[in-house]
Amino acid sequence: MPESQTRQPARRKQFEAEALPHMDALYRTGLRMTKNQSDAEDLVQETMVKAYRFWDKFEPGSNCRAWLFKIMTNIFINEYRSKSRTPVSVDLDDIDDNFLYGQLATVPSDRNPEEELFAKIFDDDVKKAIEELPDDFRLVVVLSFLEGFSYQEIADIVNLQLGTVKSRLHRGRKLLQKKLYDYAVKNGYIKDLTT
Amino acid sequence: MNCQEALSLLYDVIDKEASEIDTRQVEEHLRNCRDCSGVYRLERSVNELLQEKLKSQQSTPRLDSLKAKLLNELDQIDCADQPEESPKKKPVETAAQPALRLGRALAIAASVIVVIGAAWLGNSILTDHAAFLPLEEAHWAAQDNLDLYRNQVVTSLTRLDTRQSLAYDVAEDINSFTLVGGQSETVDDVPLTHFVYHNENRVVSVFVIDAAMVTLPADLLETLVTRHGIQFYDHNCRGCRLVYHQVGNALVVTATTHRDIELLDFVPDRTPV
Repeated sequence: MPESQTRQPARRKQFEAEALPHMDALYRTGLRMTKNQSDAEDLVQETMVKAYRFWDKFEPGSNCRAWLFKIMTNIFINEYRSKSRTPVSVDLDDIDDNFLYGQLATVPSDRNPEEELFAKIFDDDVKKAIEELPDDFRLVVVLSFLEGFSYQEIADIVNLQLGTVKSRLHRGRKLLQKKLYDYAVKNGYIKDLTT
Repeated sequence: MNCQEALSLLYDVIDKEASEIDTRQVEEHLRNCRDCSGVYRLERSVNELLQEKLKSQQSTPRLDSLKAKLLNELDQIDCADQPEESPKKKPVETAAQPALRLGRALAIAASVIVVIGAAWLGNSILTDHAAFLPLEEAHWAAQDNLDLYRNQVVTSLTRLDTRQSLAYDVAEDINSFTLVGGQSETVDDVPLTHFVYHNENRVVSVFVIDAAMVTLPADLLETLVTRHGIQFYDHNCRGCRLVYHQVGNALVVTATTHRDIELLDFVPDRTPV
């Protein structure tokens, strides 16, 4: 082993310096993708091993973080994503673009209505709402919200066209808003005004 | 800038993806429009809420042990003296197999789609659903009367014709599925070839159409999926799952009523001539 490490010190050193620091980010996103700790650990491990095997393909100076996320996303899509994919084109159209705004506008309040509502939403509500998103939407939402990738970076990572990324992000947001509103109503934070 | 324009830029502005000019004009509009500024304010709050909550949820993982495990595995790779060895030698999980089997040809096909996509989609020789509905019916018919299609002599002739006209080939034995028949049909003046595959209890219809003869329905474009590096449209239509995939000048539509069939198996594995 020491022999091999002296034989390839540069490659290994470079990988540890450039790729390893992104492991935390990969893990937190992996957790949102797979929804459980042990799968997330496997996913990250597999990603890093693959990245190391293909380290020659990485262009020094380019965006290592995006490159690693692309590898992880590919593995996730190919191996972890549930086989019975939920159709992406259903039951989203009935959410009005300004659904939440419309609802909150009718809440009588001295303060901003959203402050009132959001002050009461728990971490768990958000977590649950995200986890309930269909895979395709959750992927772009997490890459955008959690990792702050740009639209173009997400398009490269997920291998989609820019317009598709934007539309999934848009719909993902609307779904989340609807879910958060539903939780708020269910838990009595606000009264349902739709009925 | 009017309200509609301001709202259409909502997320671009919030995500800081809008141009400087657009952003400035939106801000100007928001100063004068109570409704739009309300929408923007709400969306910004939702954004902040989600970002904040998502980040705060990091359960501290066993990252240290994960790192140790990784470094250990890297040692082994270094030791094996073949760090650039492709993962082929490792036992391949079933999910990854189609990717390996389909291999290069589909990578090429995928890039072909990207290149010709724009021109192809803009081509409105046939713009409505009409051409696709009879295919669906044909699939149902095949499912109900499998015997009608089984062992038909026409199969080989049809396949030969198709190969010549479309410079295209179809894999004969796809996992457990066997080609049981095929015929040429014309739907709304669009010639197409219809193949039927079956295994013990499943039927899959594959339609091969000259891509220049059709334009995909707009709502289909929303369903673009990438798996194993291949781009295709995965669409559900009245209980029927349809996958649209283009190889060279051929559009391949695969239809099944069972969602657990790996439709990628029916994506051809030969490079178009």
